[in-house]
Amino acid sequence: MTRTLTIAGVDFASRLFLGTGKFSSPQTMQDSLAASGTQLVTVALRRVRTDGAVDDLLGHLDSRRYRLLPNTSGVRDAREAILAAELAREALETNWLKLEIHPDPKYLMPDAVETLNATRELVRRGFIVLPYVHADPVLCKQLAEAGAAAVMPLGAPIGSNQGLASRAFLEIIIASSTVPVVVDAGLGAPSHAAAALEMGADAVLVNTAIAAAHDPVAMAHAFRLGVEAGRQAFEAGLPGRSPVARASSPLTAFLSDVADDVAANAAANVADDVAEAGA
Amino acid sequence: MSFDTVWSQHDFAAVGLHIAKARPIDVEHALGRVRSGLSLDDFAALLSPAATAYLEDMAQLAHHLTVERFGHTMQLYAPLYLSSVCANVCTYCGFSAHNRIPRIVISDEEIIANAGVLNGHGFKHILLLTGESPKVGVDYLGHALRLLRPHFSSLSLEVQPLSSDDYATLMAEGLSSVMVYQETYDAAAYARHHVRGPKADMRYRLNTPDRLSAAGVKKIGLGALYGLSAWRTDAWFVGLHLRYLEKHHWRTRASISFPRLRPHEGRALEGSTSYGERDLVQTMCAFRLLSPEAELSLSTRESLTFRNHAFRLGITAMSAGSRTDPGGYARQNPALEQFAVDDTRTATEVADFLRAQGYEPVWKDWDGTYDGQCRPNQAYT
Amino acid sequence: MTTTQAPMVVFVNDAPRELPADATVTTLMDHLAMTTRKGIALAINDVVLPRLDWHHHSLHDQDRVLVLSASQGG
Repeated sequence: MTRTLTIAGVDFASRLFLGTGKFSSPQTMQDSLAASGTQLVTVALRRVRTDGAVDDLLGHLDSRRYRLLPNTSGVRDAREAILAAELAREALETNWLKLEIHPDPKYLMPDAVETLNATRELVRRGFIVLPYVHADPVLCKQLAEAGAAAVMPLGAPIGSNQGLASRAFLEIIIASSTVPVVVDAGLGAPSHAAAALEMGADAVLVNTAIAAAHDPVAMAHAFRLGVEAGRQAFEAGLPGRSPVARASSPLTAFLSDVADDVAANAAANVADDVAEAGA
Repeated sequence: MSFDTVWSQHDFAAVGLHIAKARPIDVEHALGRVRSGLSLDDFAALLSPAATAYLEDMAQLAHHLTVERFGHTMQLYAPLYLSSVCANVCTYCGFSAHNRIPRIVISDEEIIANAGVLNGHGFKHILLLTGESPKVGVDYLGHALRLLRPHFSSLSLEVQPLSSDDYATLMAEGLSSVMVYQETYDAAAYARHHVRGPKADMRYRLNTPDRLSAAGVKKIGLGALYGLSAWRTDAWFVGLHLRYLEKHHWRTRASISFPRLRPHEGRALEGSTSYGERDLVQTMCAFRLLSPEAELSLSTRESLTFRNHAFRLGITAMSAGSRTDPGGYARQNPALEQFAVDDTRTATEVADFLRAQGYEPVWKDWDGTYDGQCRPNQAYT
Repeated sequence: MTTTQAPMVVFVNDAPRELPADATVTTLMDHLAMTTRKGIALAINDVVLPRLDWHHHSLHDQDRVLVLSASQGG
């Protein structure tokens, strides 16, 4: 058993979060969620169809089993995000929120400035904010300071399945974060998810790789295994690479010639022992 | 959030046991993980008795890491003692209130005279030291900073713990960094060695880096006086404090120093533990491996021979040509030395030695501009 | 002689819809057969309107009503 993940005081046994988008059918989505073992899923807010057609996602999601995390995807700035957040809180009766602001519709890159500003305001309004951002270590520190409950740095562009393109920066974020780190976006294979957990990420969020797989249910299960393996390895303690080979002449040989400090200290009139290191 | 909360979660004796139990395989794992970042458990292994067999490996790694990060450079600085007045009774210090020594506070003229001498030697970074007394409170310190600011590009302070407001006041006068050494993180030993005076308040001292960060001080010096209690444990706690600073005050830089009790013939401080040069090398290397970017500083309290060999094992700053008597650069008064200097070379001699070893002495690494000496034409809010 | 007010037009998700002059939000939701549906959120002219206020919030001519619900998304 690996350690429980806690975000904003809520415990999660599963470190795999799932998005609900892009599934071919509600049934496939339900089965995939079940196979993944997830306990938190993201949902979007969309304009309802007023022509009578029913798109009732909530009917397919057992809210006792899955915590819903509404997503502000689609908004282009902080002002729109705040409106979307209030609507999401109203619609889903949760103050948890995945803050996602991408003004650029082609690459879907998150807007750092708007996200930081929106986080500050949303925290002030009582939301539990999980901001989705680039793997920018300083930005993540500022978001934590602003009250974000976790940070969600991207692994690679949304839907790209490239894996941990931002690995070098994720390492820095993980090492310096005081809030949980959830790697989001771009994870294309269970091995990517395992690698993220091995690095010390607290959780991962996966959507496209599962929903667009040939067999989403099987892929969801595979991701489950990958996440569990990665976390177990991390907690078991990975050995790491071997140290630098000796390149220069011995650096500590001088110590074997060193006699006791007592003899070396020839100042007979020393009044006292050391105090501060200033001199 | 303040550090004393974190500190009190770890029992000093239990940590000591944990360190003592580290095995060679733990040391090897720690050495393997240096590049990806050491945990405090790894740090414990590097401080353990088992790690002494790996000292050469640690030294090689520490040397390479330091060169990668800092190049072949060495910051040079000088201490300037401003007073010998002190209200504290501390068993280990020459300025302890119980000691019968002349108590002086140097005047403005003496401050300027000392500045002139130090500038003449090339120094641009200085560290100001005082005992703890109302006579050398924030007003005096602010005044001293104001006098010295035009002559130096970096002014550091090693004085009694102050409030955040006091630090903010001093920053406006040009304060760059502050050293505050905990002496020991062992509560029982701390109480034994700090008999009377404001310094007896251990928690206030423990939380000084937090107050410094709140005031926006950019560099903070941490350390313990090795020998007051079990040195491996104290070193580990300094590491704990360092990691805490990195996480919770991430805009602040850290500097680590290695003051230690030197055993004298016939005069061992009661309750002290031995800490020799091999132990000091182990500590220095362990800190460099724990933190590739921290400044590590070595004083003239150590011998010429030791400094000549140890400087390349992770050290990035050295004092030179030091006087530890108040105002001692302009007028010497050996009776007032806080402690005896061992490496008595002049700054020029130390700089020449470093150059001969392929290291560049750095006199000025900072500019007072960033400490508020200049203002932009238009205020930016 | 009874005076009936002319019906008004509101925009629901940008689409025009005719409603009685004294329509409340509940009236609109009844028209849409969404009154009892869960997971719905409303904004009138960019201001979020909580469900408990639907009943007594009167709509006005040219109001922009945004009706959202949870849907699939990452």
